[in-house]
Formats: sequence, C-alpha cells, structure tokens
Amino acid sequence: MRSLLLGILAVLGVQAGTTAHAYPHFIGHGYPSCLNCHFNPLGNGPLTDYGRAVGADGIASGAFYPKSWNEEKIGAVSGFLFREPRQDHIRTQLNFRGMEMIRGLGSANSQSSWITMQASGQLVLKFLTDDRLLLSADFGYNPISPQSQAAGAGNQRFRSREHYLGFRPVAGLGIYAGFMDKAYGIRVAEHIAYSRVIPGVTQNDQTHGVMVHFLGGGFEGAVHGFTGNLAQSRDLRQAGFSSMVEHDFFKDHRIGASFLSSKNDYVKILSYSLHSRFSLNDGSAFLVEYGQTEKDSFSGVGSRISRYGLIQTYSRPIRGLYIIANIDYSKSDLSAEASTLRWGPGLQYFPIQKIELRTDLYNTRTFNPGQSTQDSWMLLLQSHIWI
Amino acid sequence: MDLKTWGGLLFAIFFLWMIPAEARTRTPTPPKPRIKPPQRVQIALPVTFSEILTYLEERRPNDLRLMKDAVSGAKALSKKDLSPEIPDLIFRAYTLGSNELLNAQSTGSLPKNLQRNVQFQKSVLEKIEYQEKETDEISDRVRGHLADLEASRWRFRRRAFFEIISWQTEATLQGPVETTTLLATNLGLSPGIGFSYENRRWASSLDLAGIYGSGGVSSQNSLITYSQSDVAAYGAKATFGFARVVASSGSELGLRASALYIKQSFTVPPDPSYSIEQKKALSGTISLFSRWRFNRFYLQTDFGRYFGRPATIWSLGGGLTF
Repeated sequence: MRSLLLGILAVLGVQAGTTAHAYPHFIGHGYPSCLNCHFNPLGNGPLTDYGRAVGADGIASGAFYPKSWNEEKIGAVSGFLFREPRQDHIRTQLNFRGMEMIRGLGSANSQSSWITMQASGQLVLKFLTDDRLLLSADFGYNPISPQSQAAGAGNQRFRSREHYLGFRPVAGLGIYAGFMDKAYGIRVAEHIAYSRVIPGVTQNDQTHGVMVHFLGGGFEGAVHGFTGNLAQSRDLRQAGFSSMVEHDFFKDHRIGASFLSSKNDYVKILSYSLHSRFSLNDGSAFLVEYGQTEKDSFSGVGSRISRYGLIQTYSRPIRGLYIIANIDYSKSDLSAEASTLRWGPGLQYFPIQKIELRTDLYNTRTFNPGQSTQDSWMLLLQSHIWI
Repeated sequence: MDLKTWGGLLFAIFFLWMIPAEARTRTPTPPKPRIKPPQRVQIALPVTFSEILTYLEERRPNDLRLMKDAVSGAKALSKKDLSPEIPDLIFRAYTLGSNELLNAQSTGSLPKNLQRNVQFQKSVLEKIEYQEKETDEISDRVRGHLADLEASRWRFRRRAFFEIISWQTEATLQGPVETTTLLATNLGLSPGIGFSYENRRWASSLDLAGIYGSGGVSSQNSLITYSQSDVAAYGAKATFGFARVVASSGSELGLRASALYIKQSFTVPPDPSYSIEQKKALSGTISLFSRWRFNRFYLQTDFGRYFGRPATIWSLGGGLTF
C-alpha cells in the first residue's frame, strides 16, 4: 500500500514538474530562460545588467522607495555600488548569504548554529556585441562541513565556485569552458534538496569541463562534458557528461529531462530525471522534478539505486513576497522499504533590491513499516545581500 | 514549536497577505477617466441617453429603420443616408451608455437592454465610419470593465478531488509496571467532493472526503518493544477553507480548518496485563493550503497541525472543477 501511494506521489510529480540555478520559479514572471538575467546560461553566478534591473523593478517590493522614485530611477541604481555602469566590458558583484539553522525545533535537543554560506566577489569581463565573449569568475569564502571534508571537496576556506570562458557565436548557441555547475535538473536554491544531493549536483559539486548551450525552436538545453573538480585528488574526480533539455509548451510552461553519467576510481553514477516548470502568472509558479540515481561502487559496497522527487509551489500575494510549499521526497535505497518526505512551508521576501530574506520550516517524516519515528523539525532563517 | 507559535506564524502570514496589493504599490493606480461626451450637440436636440432613444423612435423613425437594417446586415449604410444630426446623436448616446456601463459596480445592476443598445450604437458608428478611433477606445474600456465585473461576481463551483494524505497517531501501551507511547505514521488516500463560493479575489470552500490508509506503529522507548506494520485506518474529513486568489490564473493560498474522524485499532498484546489506550477518533486541524489551477484541473497542497497535540498532517492531490 505504502509503495503504491508513494509511487502515485512520484507519478504525480512527473506529470506536474523544471530547471535552474538561482531562482527557477521566476518563470512565473515570464522568464523561462536563465539567460535573460544571468551570464551563466543555466543560471547562478553574476547577474547581467538586465537581470539587476529586473530584480529591482520586477522582483523586489517597491514599498520602501521614496514615492518620487519611478521604475526608471529604481532600475538606475541596480548596478554595482548603486551606480549605472560607465563602461561595457567589466562587471563586478559582491554577495553575502548567511543562515541561522535551528535543528530539532521544539525538542529538548534543539541546536542552533550560524552558517556563513557565501561571502564572495564576482567578476565578469565581456566583449563583442551582445556580450558574446565573456570571462566570468566567482571567488569567496567556503563553509567547510563534515560532509564536504569527507568527500575531499571544498576543504579550502576560500575557493572558486565558478570560473569559465564563454563564447556565443550566434544568439542560439554558446560554448562555455571552465569550472561550473553540471547541467542537470532544476537548479533550485535549496542545496539540501534531494534532487540536488542524490545526483551530486549541489553546492560543492562544480566541475571542470566544456558545456554547449543551445536555445531556439522552443527548446533550451545544454550538453556538458567534464573531467571533475581538478582541486580534488585524481582518484576522487567524477569525470563524465551530463545534459539537460527543456521544451516550451503553451506560454511560459516548460517540460524537461536530464541525464548524467560519471565515474571516479570508486563509484560510477548514472542519473536521470524529468522535470517541469509552470508559470501560474503574476509571479506564481509550480515546479516539479522526479528522478533516479544509480550508484555502482567498484568495491561492491554501498551500491544502490535512489529515487527522488521535488515539488515546489510559489505564490506571490504581493510584489516582493513569495509563499513557498517545498515538498521533497527521497527513497535512498530502492531495495529497502524506508522513504522520507520533507515538507517545508517558507517565506521568501525581497523588501528592496539587493536584499533577500527567507524563512523555511522543514518537517521531515520517515515512512518505515518496521519502525515509526517522530517527525523532525528544522527552521532556517536566511539573509542574502548583493551589491 | 508549540501550537501558539505555529498559529501566530500562520496569522502573521495571513495578515500580511490581507493587505491589499494596491496599498503597497508606490504609485497608486489613477482612477479610470470617464468618457467626456462630445459638446457639439445643439441645445434643441435631446441630451440624455433615454431622450436620444425616444427622439430617434418618435422623430426619426426612418433613420432608425435604416440603422437597424444596416446593423442586421440587410442593407449598407453611410453617413450621408442619415439626417445631419444623427451621427452626433448616436455617438453621444454611445458615450453616455458606455459611461453608465463603466460606472456599474456589478453586472446585475445594469438596466435592461443597456448593453444591447450600446452595442447597437457602436455598430452604427462603425457602419457610418464616424469617430472610429474614439469608438474603439471606448469599446475596449467597456469590454475590460465588464470582464472585470464578470470575474468579480461570486459564484458556486463544485469539485471532485483525490489526495494523498499522511498523518501520525499516538496511543499509550500500559504494561504491568511501565508504559510507553506508541506512534503510527500513516499514509493514505482521500477522495472527496468540494463546494466553493468564490470570485476573482477570494474563495471559500467546503470539502467532504473519505480517508483510507495504513501505517506502521512502534513503541517510542526501549522499556517495551511493540511493533506492528500496515495497520489499517479509515475515516472521513470535513474541511472549511478561506483563500486569497493570488494570481490571474486562479491560484489560491489560504487557511483551512478540518474535522477528522479516523479509526485505527492497534492489536493489544496477548498478555492480559497489557492494554492500549488510544486517542479519540475525532480531532481537529488547521492548515495552510495552496491550490494551483490549470483550466478545469487543479493541484493542491495542504500542510497542517493538529489542535491539542504536537503532530502534523499533510496532503497533496489534484481535482477537477465542474
């Protein structure tokens, strides 16, 4: 019965479901492609001038500006250090993102900790018309978690999260070479989402490689060949390729699929997923992803097939505010009966341009026929500032 | 987080969201300008909408017949076919009628035949190619206003839905000297029907649903080991909800209160010195829900908390509106 119901849940996810880095739910504002606002065509990283203006005029609340300011004035201060760029070739950005994390909320074992997730500087050098040639780099503070230490990645206190050279010979085609996130699935902001953790495409999983991005004819996608993170020791580097393709259907709705195959000296990973993003107009959006990851350990220990699903809904009752339902499903081993569903109502608020405040409450429930356990709770309070 | 904190958080969200969007925008939307009627009508001619109609019927029956024939498609019509004052009078009647439509607060308050008369005058103006640009602009505004009125009209809708639902149930296992808490984590199906009373901004709903599911139950300490899998649970749920429509697609976000009656019987150990005390089958919850419309279909998420005990209940499903 339980397997059947979770299966239905998963299928429902498939029928409903998208892409992205930064904020893929902005499809609800009529931006299905990340390329409009980010130099990285799959999102994340520094914003373009247009992206900064959209953030100021279309995303953030307008409640705290002087009444005499019009949209043009607000957009004019969206640049670095609140100034309009005076030249065309250099763009810079500073980012800070911190989080108060409260685990075991409401229990006797409640623990609270502050995590500085991001304190970085970004630099973009761009040339040719329409920024067809660019060099982008992101370097900054890196929080070291026990997990990343164990994985051998991100052990440096400071590191690059991306640096690449990009060239778009024509508008619909781009070639990007360097260190960046793998092209796979929906790049939701939640790096603890099972859809990012299980296939290995989360915050410390960038890789060196070459990515070809295409856009046109109702399709957008990328094919990414990679050799692993060269900062890791050779035996740990996951080398292989991934791809992600999306297709437009109706207006501002997309359906997509992803594939990833990679291996190092210890484990081979095969991952695939379906996803979809729906615009529900006026900033509201509905995102779904459903996928499976096969990890084949060469030692024979730890091989398993995992399945995951994600549903995110974003309601925008007023400009600048998004009310979120984040539903995250995981069955970490298909041969076992246990599965987990994490349900998180949340608030995302952009009170003014360059500032994001976010609260997420996560309720995690484990389904295991042999053992019933109390739900666990976690509260995240995030602040994000960029200039 | 206790129930008060949870309730306070939900209330804060709801309160913030109740503030009209118009009040939070920097530049208030300017009021719709009304249409200024033309000033070229001579004093001896009729002035009001009804006077113009009466004038046409009593003083210019031939012109009226020509116009009716033209609108019905029977005959062609040009400005030269009509008496000299008629085009101005028709345009004036059109602007006055349109003003009345633009001032209407509901479709039910409109005078009988007003829309038909205004449409007739618009057709005549198009036929005789008189004040075409102004006529089109007025027509667009009237059409938009009537569409807004129609969307704001409260209406009943019926729905059928199907949800996946999960909840936890507690019981107490009493032994000869010790007790332990039993916890069941359940997953089930909940088909039902619903009724909504809604307009473009607000929606209230009443849902009635059956529940069938099962769950594994186990003891929560090591004093007594108790475990049982796939314990059947069945019952019903009545839910009242109130929501704000947050997007033009009809997506809703709101609060719901539910009354649940769920029966689930745990097997009592054969040793007669053990007994199980279960909670009442009747319970209440409050939840935050969102509903996402795709034409007649919708998806729905619901995340809630029980009254009086620290447990959550959630559901995810879809339905059809008819």
